[in-house]
Amino acid sequence: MTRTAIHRFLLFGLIMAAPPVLCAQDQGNLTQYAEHLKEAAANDTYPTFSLTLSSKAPEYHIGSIMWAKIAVTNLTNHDIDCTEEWGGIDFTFEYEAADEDGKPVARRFQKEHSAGFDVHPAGIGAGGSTAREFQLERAFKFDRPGKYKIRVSRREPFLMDENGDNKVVYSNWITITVTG
Amino acid sequence: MLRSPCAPFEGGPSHVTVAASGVTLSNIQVVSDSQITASVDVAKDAPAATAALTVTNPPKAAHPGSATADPAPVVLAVPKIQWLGKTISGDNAKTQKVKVGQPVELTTTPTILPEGYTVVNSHWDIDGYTIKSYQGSDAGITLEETDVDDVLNTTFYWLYPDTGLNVDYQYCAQDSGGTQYCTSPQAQATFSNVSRPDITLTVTDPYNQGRVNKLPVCGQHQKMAWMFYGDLHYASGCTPPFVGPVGIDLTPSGGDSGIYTFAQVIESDTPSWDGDNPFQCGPYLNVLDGHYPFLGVSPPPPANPTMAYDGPGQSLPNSYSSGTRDFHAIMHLLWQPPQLAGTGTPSIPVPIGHQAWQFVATTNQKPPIGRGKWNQPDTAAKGEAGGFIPANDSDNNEHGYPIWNGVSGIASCDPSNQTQEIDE
Repeated sequence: MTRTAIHRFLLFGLIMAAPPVLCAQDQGNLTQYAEHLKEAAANDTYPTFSLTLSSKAPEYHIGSIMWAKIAVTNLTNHDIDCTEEWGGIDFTFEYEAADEDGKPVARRFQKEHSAGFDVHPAGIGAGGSTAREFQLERAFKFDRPGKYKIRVSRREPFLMDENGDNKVVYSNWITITVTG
Repeated sequence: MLRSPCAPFEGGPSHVTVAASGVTLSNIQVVSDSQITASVDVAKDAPAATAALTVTNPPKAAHPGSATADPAPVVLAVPKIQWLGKTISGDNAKTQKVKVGQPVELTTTPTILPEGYTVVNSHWDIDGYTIKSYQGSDAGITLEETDVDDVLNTTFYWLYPDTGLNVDYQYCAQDSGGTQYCTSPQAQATFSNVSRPDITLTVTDPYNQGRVNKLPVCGQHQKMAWMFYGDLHYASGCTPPFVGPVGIDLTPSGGDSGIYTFAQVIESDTPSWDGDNPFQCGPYLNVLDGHYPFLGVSPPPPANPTMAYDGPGQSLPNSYSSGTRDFHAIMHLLWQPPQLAGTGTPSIPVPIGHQAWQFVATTNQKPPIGRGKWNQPDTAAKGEAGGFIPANDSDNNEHGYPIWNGVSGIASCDPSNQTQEIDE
């Protein structure tokens, strides 16, 4: 065990004996940081964050890059998780789109079909927000002209529903026009 | 007003006078019956002015009774350099101190010349490595070079510590006819110390190897296999945050009251499955890892991060017998000093140095292929690759700031034709 590791262990012991305040230098250990987040979330009510979806342009051509942005805002008075899972698109979000008839648009990148995958652990401080840009055409197969409604969602890290699943926070709907 | 004896006309000598504050005449000579020359000497504190230079002849002398030099000599005041409301150039000026990354907003006098004259060709000479402005985003770090020509005022940031740095300023005047006068002396200010704390970056490797774990899939009672650098699981349910020792921690120290900023550039990253890249993931060369600044920090923004961490992962589809990650990254450390008192202009992050690190590992699925039972990975390389390398202005064309081409997360993978079974 290296000196650093010993130091970490001792600090961890002190933290367990003291009030649950996580020292900044200990947060590199994800377990401790997740425990810190979980403890902080013990009295949270749904939702702990909000999602605001916007499109860079109202209209795109089929085959073009379609930029959109998700703003995540921490609604609590403590840190919350905002990790990214990249594999062509950030899989910590779920993506929904429907055409003018309400028919769901087929997904293109899906987490369970993703191979390239990178975890970017990240958080948002109390009251803070962050914005994530992504490409709509990576989420959906836009192969026909028309108007499409789109929204995104993200799971609550620690708030569970009656079935034991992570609760879901939804964004606003946006509408884009896809031209041929 | 000075008087000097000149040509001996009847009734007394002619007088040469100059009307301007802080100027004197010397070397007065009669060149001919119609020409007198004189030098106008300007005191250091003389204001900018045009000097009325007049020859007055004795009453019994031939006409004209007096003559005025035309154009009138222009007095170019000695310039002064001012910073934070104080003059910092001149004989009695004190030397200055500032930290790298703090704004040096210099103004000068004179800014206005006598009517008919304008300040032209202002020029600054600034020792050391400086920039005018910095802007950072996922698209890259944009720097502007310091304005040194044709500006009365200049704002810049020193990027690297140094001592005894001089800042010189001079200007010219131009009359309405376009004639330039470049006789203004030079103003000089000296910064005795441009300082920066002794900052370094320490690398630790909490888990010391790669690991294959299975993660739940949201909305499904299924799990998927992934290989990580570190031993990572979801803390709760099917979504982050992750728990477990992460692959690598990078901890800066010495920055005192400043703010650390991280930027990770993926030097190369080649994920492969059965020796191939069916999902068209990468290879990534010199791309930004995720965002600028790097988001894998703790505590999270807006707090001042005290460390950065990362744990590259790779999915393991059941249909493949092996998966390999060959990941090489460079973590750049920047440091933003505290706000300088007396100005509303924020300080900027300056480059401190960079640390290369790596994760190279391969895992194999236990036969028969398709069951999703994977061996723990063989970790061929991990952790730091060499030591922490201090930034240097000559590192690249960006004064030692990190540069990249594209963003890994956005540019990642194109699995439009892939298929994969989900592991039960």
